Amino acid sequence: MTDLAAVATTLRAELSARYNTDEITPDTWWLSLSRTALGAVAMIPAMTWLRQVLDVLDAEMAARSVCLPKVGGDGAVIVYSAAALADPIELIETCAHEHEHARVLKADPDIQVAMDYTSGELRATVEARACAVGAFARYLVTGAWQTADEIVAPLAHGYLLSPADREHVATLVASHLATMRAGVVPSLEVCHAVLEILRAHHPGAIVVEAFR
Amino acid sequence: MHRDSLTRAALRLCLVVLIALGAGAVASGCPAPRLPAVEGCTVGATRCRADRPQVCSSTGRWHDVGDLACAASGAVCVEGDAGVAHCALATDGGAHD
Repeated sequence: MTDLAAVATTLRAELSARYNTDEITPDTWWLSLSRTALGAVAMIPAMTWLRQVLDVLDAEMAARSVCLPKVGGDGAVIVYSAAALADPIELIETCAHEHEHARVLKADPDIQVAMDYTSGELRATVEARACAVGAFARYLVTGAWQTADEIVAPLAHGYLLSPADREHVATLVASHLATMRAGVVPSLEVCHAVLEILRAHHPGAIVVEAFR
Repeated sequence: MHRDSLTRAALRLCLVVLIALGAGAVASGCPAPRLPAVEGCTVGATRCRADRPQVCSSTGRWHDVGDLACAASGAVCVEGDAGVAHCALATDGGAHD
């Protein structure tokens, strides 16, 4: 029986080293401290708006992980949500997904990446790749097949994608799924990295015969 | 009432900051998003180019599916009779480019 929590820990450490990422989790000390301090300020009657802002941020940070560029430096910071950290399979998928974003930031560390993300069409392409990387990692350790619609469902809210852009994401992901179904690693660098790490450290965690 | 004023003031401040950031970005020659050229392809169509599967967007642009060629996975890009272009082992079907 493979310890998937150990697999997730290895994947976080190895991908972090390859793509120069730092991690923030809900229990990171300065984040907890800041949240407590802001929560105290928000108790002042005149600060209702801050309480509302904190409520929105709390809900987002509980459910959604994000990858942000490091300020003035090479690499990225991944903020893991409580939901991602609660389950090893979710964590493996999220870690792989966010490192696809980190790869983009490492390869092209300037404002151009941010400008590209303002285009719905390019945002769709970027998110499709990240979803495909996450889905591939999950597939490797579970063998459970997901449809393109299931994989892109989380993009329905919060990404400001039009129906046409969401359809674009689904088609891009469908191509990666067809590649996986053919027993081939998706043509994404981070998918290769994930497989390489699992083969090197946890070969028993790979449950899909074609990728062992 | 007082709280509403504060909320409005905070929102106005955010708006001013956003406008200032936008103006600064434009003034500093901020680049435009790197969209591929419009080629008038059929929305949702797929094809292989340079050993990479591509998908046509709603604005008629071809987008690479991945960041690597299929060869990096020991495969070739194939355009199936049914379904989307993807990477497959050379023996699974004909290569198209």
